[in-house]
Amino acid sequence: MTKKDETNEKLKGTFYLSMTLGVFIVIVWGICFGIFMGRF
Amino acid sequence: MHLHKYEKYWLTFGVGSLIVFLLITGIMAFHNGSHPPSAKKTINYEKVDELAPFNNPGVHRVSGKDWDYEVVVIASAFAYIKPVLEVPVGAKVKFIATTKDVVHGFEIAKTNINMMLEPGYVSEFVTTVNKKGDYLIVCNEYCGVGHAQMHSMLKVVDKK
Amino acid sequence: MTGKSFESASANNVHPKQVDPRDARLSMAHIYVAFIALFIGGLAGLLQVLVRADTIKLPEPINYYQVLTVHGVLLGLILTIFFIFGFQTAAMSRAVGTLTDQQRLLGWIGFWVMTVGTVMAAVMVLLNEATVLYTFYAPLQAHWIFYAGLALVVIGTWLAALSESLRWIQWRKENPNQTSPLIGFMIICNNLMWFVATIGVATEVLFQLLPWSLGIVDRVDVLLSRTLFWSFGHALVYFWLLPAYMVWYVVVPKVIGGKIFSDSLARLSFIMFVLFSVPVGLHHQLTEPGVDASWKFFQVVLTMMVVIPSLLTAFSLFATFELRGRELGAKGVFSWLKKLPWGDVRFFAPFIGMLVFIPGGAGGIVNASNQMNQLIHNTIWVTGHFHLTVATAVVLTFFGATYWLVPHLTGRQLTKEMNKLGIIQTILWALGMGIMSISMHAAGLLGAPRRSSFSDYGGADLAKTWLSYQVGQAVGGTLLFIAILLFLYIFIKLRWSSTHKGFEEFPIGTVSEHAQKTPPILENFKLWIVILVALVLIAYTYPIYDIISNSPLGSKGYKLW
Repeated sequence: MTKKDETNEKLKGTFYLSMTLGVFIVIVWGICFGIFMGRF
Repeated sequence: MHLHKYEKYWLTFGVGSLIVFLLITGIMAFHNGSHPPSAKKTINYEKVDELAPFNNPGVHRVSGKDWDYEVVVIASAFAYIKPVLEVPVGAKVKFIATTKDVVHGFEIAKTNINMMLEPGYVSEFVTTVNKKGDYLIVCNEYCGVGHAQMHSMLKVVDKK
Repeated sequence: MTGKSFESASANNVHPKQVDPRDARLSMAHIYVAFIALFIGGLAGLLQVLVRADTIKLPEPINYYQVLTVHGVLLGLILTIFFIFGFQTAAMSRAVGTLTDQQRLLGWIGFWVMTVGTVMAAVMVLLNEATVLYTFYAPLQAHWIFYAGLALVVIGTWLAALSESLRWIQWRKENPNQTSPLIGFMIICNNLMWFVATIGVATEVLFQLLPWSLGIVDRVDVLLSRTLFWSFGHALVYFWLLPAYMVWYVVVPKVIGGKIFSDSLARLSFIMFVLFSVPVGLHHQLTEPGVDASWKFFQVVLTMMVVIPSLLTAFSLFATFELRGRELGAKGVFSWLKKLPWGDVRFFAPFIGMLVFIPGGAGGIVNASNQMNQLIHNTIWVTGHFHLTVATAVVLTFFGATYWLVPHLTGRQLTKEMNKLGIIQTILWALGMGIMSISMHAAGLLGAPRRSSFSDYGGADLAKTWLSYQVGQAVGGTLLFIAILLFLYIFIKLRWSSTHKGFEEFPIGTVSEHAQKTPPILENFKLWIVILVALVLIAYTYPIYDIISNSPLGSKGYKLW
């Protein structure tokens, strides 16, 4: 198990970067959704 | 198959977001009736001028329907009939359009009214025009050499 | 497994890591055609952005849409198809083994059928007999030779795909119960998806457009033709993307000195691409009449499924980079980024491609979000979107691959000087595309239509606001054309300069020792084919039945250009 925790620790940067891109996607979608709802 | 702890979190977040997108658009479509334009009426595209409602293009006030106005538009290479449409602000309007020749687009710029016009099919979209202004209508599907000259105007004006 | 089996598999080669010279010639033939298409198609793109910014007028009798057809057909179809089959042939030969004489002959027949088809279509476009854009929407009617040419291109791709696939099948027979080399597996996935996807467009061309343009039948079912086209059209974009993913998954780890993060996850994402790339075409037809709204939404759901393998890929690639950076001694959360070989164009070009795929993918999710499509459908936003995905993520990766592939195949080396020019080329491309694509996205949200020549729309105020973005597109497009010229200069130097003789590696990564064993089910193509066919039937049977049973009077042909 300790070995596994170690690889997990090694992937911290990967996790943060992935989440950043995920949040970016959600923001882009949210902005477009806002524009869509604001138009008739 | 083995997934890392972080990869599980990431996939949960990613797939979760996709599900949220689908839920929002799905509920809007199936519960609030906000589908993309998907009318299934057909028409003889060679006789559009003779067939209702296209024998009388333009803006018409209607009663007893779910909407207050019908805007009937005929597209052909490379113009729309009629060139100017005027509707009062706040009206619920049904846009009804078709083409007499090739595929055209019917896009009212800076609105969500954006539909394909295909020979033999009637395209429809209902919306409430809630902002005053002049809205440029453009053909957004390539239809031939005059494609970029094909446009008209929707004027949303004060109620009379 | 992996590393050793890759090499032993190609034991009958001249050099164990070298593509056999006979296979190299076949691969290079494709690459020449691809880059001729790049030059002419790129020139057409330059003319378009300049016309649309109102800086030049095309001389009579050339019209904007003819130039646009050249751009779309040559870059969207010819550059991509030829480069992909050239790359895949070399990769199959390198990782799985030298082709047999029969397999290679089949590859050459495929190449010539594709080339003859390309020339036929190109001649008709140049004669202004086929100004119908690369989507060739009926009832605009091109000369029948144009359609016949495109049909030959598709038939040629089937032969080329079969040639590569036979080599992989041979490997499987010779190595029972073993996991096949990863890149070979990926090529099979891409070819399988391509074969299933092209059935739709081949049906459209052979049974609708050819008889109609030949005058055998009078009328064509327009909506059916569009639906068949788009059953192919979205898989087409994944056919462009998957070879870039092959480079990202298999080549880049080796270039940076790291390992492939996980063999099984890579295979899993490719299988998901195979399954979900085809039954999703209706998301290109969201604003069309005559297509049932519920079925549109069903395919929207399937479209979101095809996002998942890209999510997996993002994590796997970051992980490969992070593990390598840490191996080199990086300690902080992000300090491993500094350890990556930024000065190596074999890494840098595809990396920029990956980065650009993020906004590309985000925009794509918006496009596919059912009624939200009305916001951007057929506006120039869409053009901006696929110039991020195919024209940057994919094309920059292809450029990055060219820098090692061409010297490898021709017995030369990527020199320091050429590497440096490659880095400059990549930066120019990213900059040009950034400016052009951002302008396109912004103008699209303001309603500017795609596929349109310059127009002031009767002096409309709104059209004036589009103009500054069109100037932005022209600036970006000009930078891109300069980048194409620089790329072609590097290509010519790498291919023909006598001072560069030597050996350039074809990098093939090996799998991390921490990764788990690959489950055999991933290689069970019989299962995946059954699921794929079932999904396509479920997604398309009712909509196509509905379209046919509801169909209005068909359309006669028009030539409005």
